[in-house]
Amino acid sequence: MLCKTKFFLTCIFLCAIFSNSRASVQAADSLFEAGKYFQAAIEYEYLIFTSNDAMLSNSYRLKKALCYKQSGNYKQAVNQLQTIYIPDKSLVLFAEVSYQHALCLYLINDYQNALWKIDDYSMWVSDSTLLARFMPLKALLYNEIHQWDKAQAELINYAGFLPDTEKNDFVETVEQLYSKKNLPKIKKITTAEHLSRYIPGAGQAYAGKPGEGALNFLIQLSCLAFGAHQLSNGFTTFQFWNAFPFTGYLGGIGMLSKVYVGGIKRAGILAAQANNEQMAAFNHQINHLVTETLDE
Amino acid sequence: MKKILFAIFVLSAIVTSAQNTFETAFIEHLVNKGDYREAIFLIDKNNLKLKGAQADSVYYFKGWSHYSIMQLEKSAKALQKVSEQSVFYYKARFFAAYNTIHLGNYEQANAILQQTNAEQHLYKNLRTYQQSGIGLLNKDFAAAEKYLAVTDSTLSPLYEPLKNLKLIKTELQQHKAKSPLLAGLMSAVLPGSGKFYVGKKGQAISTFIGTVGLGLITWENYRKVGLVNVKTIFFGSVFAANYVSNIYGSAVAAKVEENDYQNVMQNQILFNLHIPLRNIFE
Repeated sequence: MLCKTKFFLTCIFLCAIFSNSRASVQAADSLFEAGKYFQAAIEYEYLIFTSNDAMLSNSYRLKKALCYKQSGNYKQAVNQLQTIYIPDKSLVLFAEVSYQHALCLYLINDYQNALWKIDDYSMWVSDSTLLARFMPLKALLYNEIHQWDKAQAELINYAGFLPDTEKNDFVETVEQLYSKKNLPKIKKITTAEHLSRYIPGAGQAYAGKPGEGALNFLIQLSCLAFGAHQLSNGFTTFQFWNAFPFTGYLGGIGMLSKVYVGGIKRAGILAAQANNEQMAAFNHQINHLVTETLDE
Repeated sequence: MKKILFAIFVLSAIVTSAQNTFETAFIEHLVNKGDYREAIFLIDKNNLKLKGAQADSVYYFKGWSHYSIMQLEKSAKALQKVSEQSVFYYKARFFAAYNTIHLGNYEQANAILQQTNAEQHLYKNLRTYQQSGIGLLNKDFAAAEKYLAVTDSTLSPLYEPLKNLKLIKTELQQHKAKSPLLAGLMSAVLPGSGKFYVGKKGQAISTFIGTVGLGLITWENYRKVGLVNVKTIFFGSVFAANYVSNIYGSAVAAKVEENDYQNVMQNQILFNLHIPLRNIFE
């Protein structure tokens, strides 16, 4: 009897050792903590593969998505997050999945879908404290689509969740940031192109590069002057045979047309660049402001 | 004590085997999900000591993963290790050969095909079909013709691709390459005509207008203000540079055009070699 008991106990002991030898949540988490996101993603996938619990599987899927996010594969993170379905919308996991999903969509510049994701979450959840986390992200998304009023409103709402000591300062800073003079001056690309079409160099100046605009204008003027001079040579003395029609037309006007068309295109590119720079600088200020409140 | 040791031995053998089966299933799961890099990482990291069907499956999964992320050399190497007893044997062999063809190692691809034990009618014909493709890629039209003739065109997976390969063969045999020398000479006589000969009509017209325009400007200045004048020298230099570069450009365009043609034909052959593999094995 004793021998049989020993035998079965040994069997149980060995089974326990071997069955736990592959993967565990701790192993996956420690790989994640160590920054080994690729390996961690495999471990989480293994946990998903072996798990029979839908809720646990969803939490592993979220962690796998975070691995992708941390390694900069935002698109893959979005794809992974899309596979998560949580029927109980009141769970913290649902809030986390929705937040990470919206954030990753923001990171791949899919602003409309990110906003839709947040709106979808707020439809299910009425607890405003849970929604507070989404507000700064929503403000950044509104900034990207130039809806300043809505972005400001989100940040003002967010201030409501801050301690009283910080609230006033935060609101003041937000109002200052969103005052008309501080808002990014978004340049219309078509306007920049049209300006350069009618007044050479004006589009570049509109896009914030007056020096480049002036240079473009001078080059075009020089080409025109050279062409006109070559064509009109001899006209004052009525010695038309002294004119240079080929040099004037093909050399001067030909070159002018190239610089003119190039100038229009360049104005559009400069306007787009200026918009990107301004948006990045503006969002950086918002990020800084929100991060400060989180740190405290 | 002896019984306990025996139990440990038996259990460890059973558990190791079960773990390997589970590991293989997980690798398969990764491959099916499209996580190819992860599957390769796992196979290489775990260094699984597998035998028989399990080993074959892992070699196949490894080869297939490499193939899916276009690491064809590694793919061919792993796929060739799949043994004849495996259910993946034919797929592995033909894809190993296809990968090797893709890499341009036609002799090795032929060897893989010849070493493949293909007794079934379909696989026998698939082999001759692949060999005809190798013949075409090698520009060995006699070999291509030989294999095309013996391939059974009534087999449905091969019917259309075989027809296409025959058309490609005729096209390749009739093709006359554009001569870079002739293109250059033509452009020297009439600017832009070399590019017209190569088939780039738009470029030919713009080159003609540009070069002739610069020529006219130079001539005009030379006639009116003489040779030693800054305008004549400037426009003359621009014209000369344009004229010479146009000759050189036409010769290069002929070469590029021929390379493009060969690439297109090679891709068409590879595409047609790939179609039956997909149809038969997937």
